[in-house]
This record gives sequence, C-alpha cells and structure tokens, in this order.
Amino acid sequence: MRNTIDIDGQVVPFGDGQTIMQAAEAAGIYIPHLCYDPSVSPAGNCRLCVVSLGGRQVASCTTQAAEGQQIVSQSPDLLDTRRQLTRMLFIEGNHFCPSCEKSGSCRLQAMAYELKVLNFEYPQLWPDREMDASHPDVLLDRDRCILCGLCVRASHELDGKAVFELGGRGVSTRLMVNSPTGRLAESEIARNDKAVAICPVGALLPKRRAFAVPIGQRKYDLRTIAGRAKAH
Amino acid sequence: VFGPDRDLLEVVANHTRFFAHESCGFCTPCRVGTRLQRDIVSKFQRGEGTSDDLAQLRALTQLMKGTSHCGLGQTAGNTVVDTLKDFAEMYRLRISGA
Repeated sequence: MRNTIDIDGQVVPFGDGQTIMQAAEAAGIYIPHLCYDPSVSPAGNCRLCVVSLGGRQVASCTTQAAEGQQIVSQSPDLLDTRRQLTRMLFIEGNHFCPSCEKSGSCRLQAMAYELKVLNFEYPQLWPDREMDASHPDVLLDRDRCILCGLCVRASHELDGKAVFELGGRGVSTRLMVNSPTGRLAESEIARNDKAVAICPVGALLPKRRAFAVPIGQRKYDLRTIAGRAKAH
Repeated sequence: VFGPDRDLLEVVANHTRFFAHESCGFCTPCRVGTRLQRDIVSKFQRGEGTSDDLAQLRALTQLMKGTSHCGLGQTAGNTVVDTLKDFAEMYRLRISGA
C-alpha cells in the first residue's frame, strides 16, 4: 500500500501535503497537542505533539507525512516529555483551576488530567501579567495564557483581522493587542470572533457567559481531551 | 579553555543567564527551560542546591535538547550537561549542607 506511515505499529494512510498530525487525526489516533487546531495553520510551539521519528523528536503538527515513516507516539519517554511540557505551561503562568471560569472546558487542565500530571515539580514562576477587562464583551486574562498563538492565527486567518500578536521574548513573552492603546477596547475584536472561541484556556473569554454551562457538564467533564467518554 | 583560577560554576551560570536572555520564547521547552535552568544553577552558586535539583537539571537539559524548536534551545543546556558529566563534584560540593 502506497502513501502510508506507521504510528505505534498501526498503518496510517496520508494524503498529499498532510502532516503526521493530520494523518493521525484522520485515522482516529490521538496525539496530544495544545497549539494545534485544524481550522488554522500549524505553528509547532507547544511541543506536546512531539513524536519519535528516525531517532529524533519532531513536532507532528508541522512535520509532513512521508512514505514509510516509522513513528512512535506512545512511549514512556514521550509520556514523560509531554508531562514535563505540561508542567512548564502551568508554572510559567498563573493558573488557578478552582476559581477559573474555564475549568472543565480548559484544554490545559484536560491535558493535565489526560497525562496524569499530579504535581508541578518545578517551582512556580508567579509572573506579573496584565489583565485587560477594557472591552465590553471580551476579557483577556494574561495570567492564563499559554502563548500557543491560536488567537493570533485565528484572528489573521479566520477573522480577517490582526488583533493579536506575541510580543517580548523568552519567558517574558506576552500576548499583545494591536490597538492604538494596546487595550482590547480600542481593538477590532468582537464577541463572536474565532480568535476568542479558539483560546484553549481561560485567557480569552466572552463576558457574561461564565457559568452558562454548569461545572460538571462541561466538555471535559463528559469526555477526555483524547475523546474517550468518561465514566461517572 | 578556562584557567585554574576561574570558578567554573560561575562560567556555567553565565551561560545559563545568556540562554535565558536569548530564548525567543516561541516554544515551551526553551522558553521555560532556559529560565528554570538558570534558576537551578544559581541555587548551586548560593550553596542551596539539592540532589533533587541535580536530577531536575539532567531531565531539563534532556528535554530542551530533544524537543526545542531550534538549535538555540537544543544546545542551551550543553554547558550544564558537560559539567554535570565531567565536573560532577563541583555541583555535589555545593549541595546544601554538603
């Protein structure tokens, strides 16, 4: 059979130009990821989707599938790697699940449950990050931002705007708002923008919808981030 | 090459500060890893390191090497990795209470 790759011993077909991630998703194979979303171009910055290919680790969301690739996605080492990366995302921000509106539909939280991340291991960095509540309909809480850039890409590619950009560098990188004041209020953001909906965490939220879906009935209360039904 | 009068750990610490400063912040392992590496090495400088820190430093440098997006993050831990291997005593002597 032509145009197939091997993921953890499973033969997976792929189409022209498809990435390893796209081929895996089409075959119903879950590779953990946070900065990838099929509706926008891939970036490869969270690194959760690293897989082992020819003795190297590559991001499956940005690596093209090619005939005969032997890929390992599920291994103790890669599980450990993904746990460490998830811990890093927690400790570099200020994440308080119990008081967060997004709890239960947050992909970072769901990833921690999926990978069974039970502690942070690293010391918390407790960064100083600015909240932007200036907009009547959209809240930006940078404490919860994981710098995945999904809103940046969605604003450009889906909303036809350019509301967001990642600015600064290193661990001081912050989500910046493109407006004369740097605040959301003066930007082109709108409540129903894809850039808001695509946020995997509670950094960008439409206002006044916080508990429209009660805790316990939310997305990852019902299914794991890998798509398995949860036993209750 | 460094002379015998140099404090090698200060050299290592300087490298870790350099990489924490140079990381562009694009990918998780380098953005966070270079900062954590800097912080842990500075603990040893203060004589406050622990054996857990040593294990963490090894895991951290391996993670950065294996998963960083570009060469900066993949090599940011080299000085630490090499000195952990060839000058392990330097770290052990500065474990808190050693």
